[in-house]
Amino acid sequence: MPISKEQLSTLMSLITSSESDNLDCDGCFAQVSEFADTVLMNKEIPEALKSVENHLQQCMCCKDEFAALLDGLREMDKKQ
Amino acid sequence: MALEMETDPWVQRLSGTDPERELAIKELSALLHRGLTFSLSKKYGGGLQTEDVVQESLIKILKSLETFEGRSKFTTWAMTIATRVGISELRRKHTRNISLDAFTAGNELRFEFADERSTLAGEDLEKRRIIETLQSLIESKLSAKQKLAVRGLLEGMPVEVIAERTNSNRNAIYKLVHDARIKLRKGFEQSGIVAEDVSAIFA
Repeated sequence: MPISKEQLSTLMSLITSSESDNLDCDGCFAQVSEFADTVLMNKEIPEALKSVENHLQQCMCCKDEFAALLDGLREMDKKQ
Repeated sequence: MALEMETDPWVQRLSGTDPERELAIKELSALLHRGLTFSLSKKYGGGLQTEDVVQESLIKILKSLETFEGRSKFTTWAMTIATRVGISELRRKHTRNISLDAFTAGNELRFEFADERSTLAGEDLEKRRIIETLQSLIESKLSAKQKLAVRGLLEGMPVEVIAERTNSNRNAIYKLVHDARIKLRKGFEQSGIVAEDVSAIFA
């Protein structure tokens, strides 16, 4: 099954955007709640959470979950 | 840390006694239901059984109450768990008909590009050079597991699904793919291919 033009574009993007990442998905998950609160309060990202920010740029799955988390939290805040 | 746990009203109520505990569970369920319905209803083709996800999430949250460290709002922490439960369920459903076996011919997985012929026959020499280099790097630098994981990702399989299908775990597959990306990027650099040019050509 050949790789489509769109998949090739995705692969190239994955390659060119790759940077070192000292966190794994579990490490990100453990800190992402704190990171989400920081983002939602428009605060500056503290040094201790920079690795979460970096992992979210590198990992499509965690990035996707984080986007859903922010959406859900905003909705919860609206209705509270 | 223990003091924060004791002083958080949600933790107090959820670890207390009925009827306050029951009321707190109802309130948290309603919040999670609202949040998940909004955030996940259109993801991965939709079809989320929100009630089930909320129930499964509540079980996890109540079991993990002692691990809440108070570094975020309690509701943020709870929603983080619920989002992971819900999105994992959606990903499993969405990718259940995709098989990793479909990408391998025998034991060999090769990367072939759909527009390879037209591109290679065309006038864009730089594009042609990048694709040829990529193909060569994939064959020479990536392990069979890395090729399979990268191919799975390109087919839309999240790392956790690839992990399940290969009897691995999410962290291991993420690292496998990430190392592959770094190897390919370094290979490009060693071949004189600049990331900015790749982005411009394949955007």
